[in-house]
Amino acid sequence: MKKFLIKLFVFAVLFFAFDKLFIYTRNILPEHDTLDNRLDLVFKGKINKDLILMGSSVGDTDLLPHAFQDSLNLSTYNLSYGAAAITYQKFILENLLKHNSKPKIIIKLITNDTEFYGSSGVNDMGFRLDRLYPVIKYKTVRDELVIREDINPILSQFMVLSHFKKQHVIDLIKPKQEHDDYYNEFGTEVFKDRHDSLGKWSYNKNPKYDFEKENLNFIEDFIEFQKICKVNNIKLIYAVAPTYMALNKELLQIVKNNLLGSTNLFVYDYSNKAYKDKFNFADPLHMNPKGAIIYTNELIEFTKTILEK
Amino acid sequence: MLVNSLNFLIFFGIVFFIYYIPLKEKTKSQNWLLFVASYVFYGIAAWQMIPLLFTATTIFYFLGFAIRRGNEKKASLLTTLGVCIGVGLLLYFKYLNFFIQSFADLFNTIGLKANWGTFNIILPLGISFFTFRLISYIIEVRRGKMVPTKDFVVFANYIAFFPTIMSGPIDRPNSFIPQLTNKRTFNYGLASDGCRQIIWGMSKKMIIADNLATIVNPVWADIPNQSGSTLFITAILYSIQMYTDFSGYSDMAIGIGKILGFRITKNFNYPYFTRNVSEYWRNWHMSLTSWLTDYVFMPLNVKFRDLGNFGLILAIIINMVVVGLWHGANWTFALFGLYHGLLFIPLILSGSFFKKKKLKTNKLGIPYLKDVLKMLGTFLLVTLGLVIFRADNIGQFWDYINGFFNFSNFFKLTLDKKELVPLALFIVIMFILEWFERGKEFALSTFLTKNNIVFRWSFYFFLIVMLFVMSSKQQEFIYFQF
Repeated sequence: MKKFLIKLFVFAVLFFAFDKLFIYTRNILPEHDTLDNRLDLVFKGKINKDLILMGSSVGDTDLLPHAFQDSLNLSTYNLSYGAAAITYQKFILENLLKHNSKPKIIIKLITNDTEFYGSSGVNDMGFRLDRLYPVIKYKTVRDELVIREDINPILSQFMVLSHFKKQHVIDLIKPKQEHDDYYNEFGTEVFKDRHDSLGKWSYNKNPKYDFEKENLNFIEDFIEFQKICKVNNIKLIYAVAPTYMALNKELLQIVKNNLLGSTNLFVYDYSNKAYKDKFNFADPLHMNPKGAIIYTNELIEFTKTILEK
Repeated sequence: MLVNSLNFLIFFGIVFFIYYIPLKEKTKSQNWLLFVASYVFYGIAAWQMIPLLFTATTIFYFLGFAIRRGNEKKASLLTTLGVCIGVGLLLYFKYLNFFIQSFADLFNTIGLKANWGTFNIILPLGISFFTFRLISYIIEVRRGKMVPTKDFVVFANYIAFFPTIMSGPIDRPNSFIPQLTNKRTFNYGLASDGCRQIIWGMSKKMIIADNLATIVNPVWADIPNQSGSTLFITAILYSIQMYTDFSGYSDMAIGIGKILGFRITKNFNYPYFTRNVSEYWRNWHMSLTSWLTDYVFMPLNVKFRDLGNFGLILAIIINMVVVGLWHGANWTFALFGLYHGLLFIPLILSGSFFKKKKLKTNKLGIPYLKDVLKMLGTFLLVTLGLVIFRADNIGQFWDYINGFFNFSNFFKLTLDKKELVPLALFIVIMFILEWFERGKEFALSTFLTKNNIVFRWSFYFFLIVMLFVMSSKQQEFIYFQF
């Protein structure tokens, strides 16, 4: 028994030491994340911009950051994440403010219809855990993954290997492809192979808000997001982004009910025929570059009025 | 508390130290510790079911004595009573709602309105496993193959031994109870072997099975939108998932048993290297099939012996349907059993049912083409059976099979190749290791001990690194639901 325990102990000590060799590998993971290094830039304190754009995938497709920068003369950066819910956006905001200089203004897009939809629970799909994996070297990220029950709270304290995910291996195996999407200098995802899926969908004239799909945690975070901006003296615009359907009035009412006095609400001009023209959309939820120009210009004009206040 | 979790490691660590240090060579105290540990382990998973487990254990403990002491007629009556209680437990907890629903459907089909409600019954974890141990005990006592144990704690440990209560293997009382009464001292060789078997089991479960689950489950959730090739490959992947999940658990349970000084019944003997269905069933979930062979097939075979081959076929089909239904109350399980039963017919008629041919290989240890084709054929037949097994209902099974023949987009593979590639590598490594170690208890039995410590420990390091890196979201063991 003594021999067994000694061997087990030596094995454990050696493995513990071996495990620490992976610190180096873990720390260079962000450099290998060639697709999207924005979170790493956030943690490194390199996103020192005047205007930050946030949202889910509509933030990538419907907004043109360079137009904001040119028209408003404010350095602009896009921190939108596809399929990200408000909870994830709040996490980004908190870390942006913690590690970087405060922006003057934040524009956060609200997706018409689906903004508050999502399964509840710490592991719901709206939290982009996959985007946290490449930056797992940061303790804040690990703490968040522990909260989200994605890594073991005890093991993650002692074992570096517990910070690694299958995704890291897959990324290592899969070389970057020519047709892969990439992020431009404004932080906007550029979809190389996305084409408009014209004709496969129709205009919904009377969208209904589905209360069964509503995640109340998202509404709490929606309010919390505003409080953070208010405390930090940042001008916040909540901007409703058009989808290929009429404006969901019930959603708008929920947004209004949960708006703090300090927050500015922008609702696109839904009487504008451009938002009913499918040739301005890539799919029912996202505008194409042509539609993005129309929406961006309208939002820029609104932002000017806020800045003048 | 899953056996492949950190919580279990801590739990087992505590049990191990108390078991071997303060309680060293104190068999009775060790048994008490195992009893408490087993009930704590079971209670963490389903505390509400502890009274049921304890009551059933107590009843069968006294039944054992009554059978032993009673005259022939009384013993026979009490054994029947015991079997009825055991089967009754299963019928109530597992099958009652199924029967109600099936009869209601039948009446509705023939035009008689039957609006019967079902009961809200919670299925006790591991019921199929501990009930079979209870039944096995009284039958063995009745057959005079064992003397009932006087020590209640020993008997309770046989029923609820924590490594095996949830998913087996289903040990027989004749082999397990004597181990509980014998003195158990720490055995270095056995414990090391146990550790190796645990690591191997964990690797199969966490590197392969759990990752396969993340590929297989979404396909099953959306069958109509899958191509034929996707469904075909998914069916094969599910066969591998099923094997690695269940045999992985069995390896861990056996390994834990070895560390505590127990020899637990082997449950798998490389079933995917078999050349016909008969061979396959002798090597798959062996503790269940041998149980059913002894207590269901053999008595039936004796009963039908006058019917010749027809009697044998009938006995096998009934036995296989029972195997299927043991897994749960669903027509898919009955069909799964019937399907396998029918696969035995050609073997019986051709006379190869009883033949046991040794697998021959060339000098390099590679099997001959004829055998490879037979293994492949058996694997595909088993895979089809597992499609029935995996389906939620017969309709879903048909959807799946129809999907195979969707030739319009047959070759449009919708599985994530990035996920598949590293996984395929591990599957190949596993099968290669298992092939060359197929005569041994498990794939790392001797392959590692033949090598020096540097190689051995490097290999363990590799497996543990992979356990950390490749392990996907922790999935429950498939056989927990049975």
